Amino acid sequence: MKTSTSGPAADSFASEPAEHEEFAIGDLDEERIEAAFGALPIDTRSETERRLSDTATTSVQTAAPRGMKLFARPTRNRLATFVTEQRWQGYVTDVSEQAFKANVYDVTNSDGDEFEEVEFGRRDVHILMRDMIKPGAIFFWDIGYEIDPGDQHNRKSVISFPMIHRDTTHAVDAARFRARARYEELGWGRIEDTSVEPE
Amino acid sequence: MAISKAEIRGLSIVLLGDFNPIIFQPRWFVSEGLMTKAEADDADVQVVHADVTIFQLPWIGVNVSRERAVFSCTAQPYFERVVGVTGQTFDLLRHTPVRMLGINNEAHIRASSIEALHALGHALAPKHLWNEFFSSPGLQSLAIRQSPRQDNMKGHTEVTVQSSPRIQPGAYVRINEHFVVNEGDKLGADRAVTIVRDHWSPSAFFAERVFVRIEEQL
Repeated sequence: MKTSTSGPAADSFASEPAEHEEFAIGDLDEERIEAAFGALPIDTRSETERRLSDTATTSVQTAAPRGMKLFARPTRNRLATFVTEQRWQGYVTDVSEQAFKANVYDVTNSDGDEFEEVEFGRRDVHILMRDMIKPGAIFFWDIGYEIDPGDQHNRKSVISFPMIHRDTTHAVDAARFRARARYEELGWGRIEDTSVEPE
Repeated sequence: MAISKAEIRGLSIVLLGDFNPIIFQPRWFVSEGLMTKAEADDADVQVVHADVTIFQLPWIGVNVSRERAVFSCTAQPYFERVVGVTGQTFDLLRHTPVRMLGINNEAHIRASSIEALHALGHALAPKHLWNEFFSSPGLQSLAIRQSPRQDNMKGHTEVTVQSSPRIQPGAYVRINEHFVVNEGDKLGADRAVTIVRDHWSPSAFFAERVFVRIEEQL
């Protein structure tokens, strides 16, 4: 393992930074650290990135007093990793008491734009997402394997309904505008719509 | 649209503001209908304290201190749920002051060979200047930032590429979509939730494009 105090890397990329050289700022009371060493960096990068970049040779190290070394506290990791082998996106076409039908297309295959009809049980969906199973609702269907912290690979199929709109306000307004234009073009009358025409 | 075949994916939503960490315990998520009781009972709670709360489930990691709240996930099928839970959490806590928001998409991408990884390093950071000083200069980390953002929001977009510590040979790529919710005066979390709603999808598409582009080099 190459440490970050070694000379320039022989390769284009360096290998893994030594874990013992990281400051465990994420694992300690930040107020205490701040009081002792000054203000912590303020950014919205992820913890992973902070840990990767806050190695011993970065400016963060200069804040530590001489002779003092902070070790990362061993942390348990319950987060599962999922390797997606195939991903479909689809929309619900029909809902019954126990099941729902949907049209899906394979988004892992960039050439594939063919829809397939599939049927799922409602219980294939997480209980907190089941009230989203309505005609027209879009969802993702991932098939792959979940790797637990013990490195066991568990084959799995996961259906997820976006719990937050994937469409931006601008996209929704644009879609409404197109729909209104089409309705009027077809002579089907006006629809109630107070949205503003997109720029 | 082609999608990334990265072996490890990560998503984290980071909010900077003033938080009350003790609220963010699994029981609270159950009481608000954001998590089932069975999930909460299964949570690995590291600490619940007035200064910090940290717990994990297989699909979400929650780490909240007084100034920073992080919701993370390393399994792509659960990204939508994590984004949804984050949005709904701060819908409920809409008066929480939030100053900045980050949406981080991360990927560890396997290289076909160590040579391909080096080629990516040379493509991202040509070495002709460094060859004057070093016999074999190597890229450690590269960050490219677009500031101001291209969507007229305050903040920046930053892409970082490093050697992957988890997949070898491989590259680690992170995209930080950083939003300044409001400069100076603090605002409630509702503004941050609006940003998540409007920018989660575009940020995911952008990240996918970057990951696929890097994969093509590897």
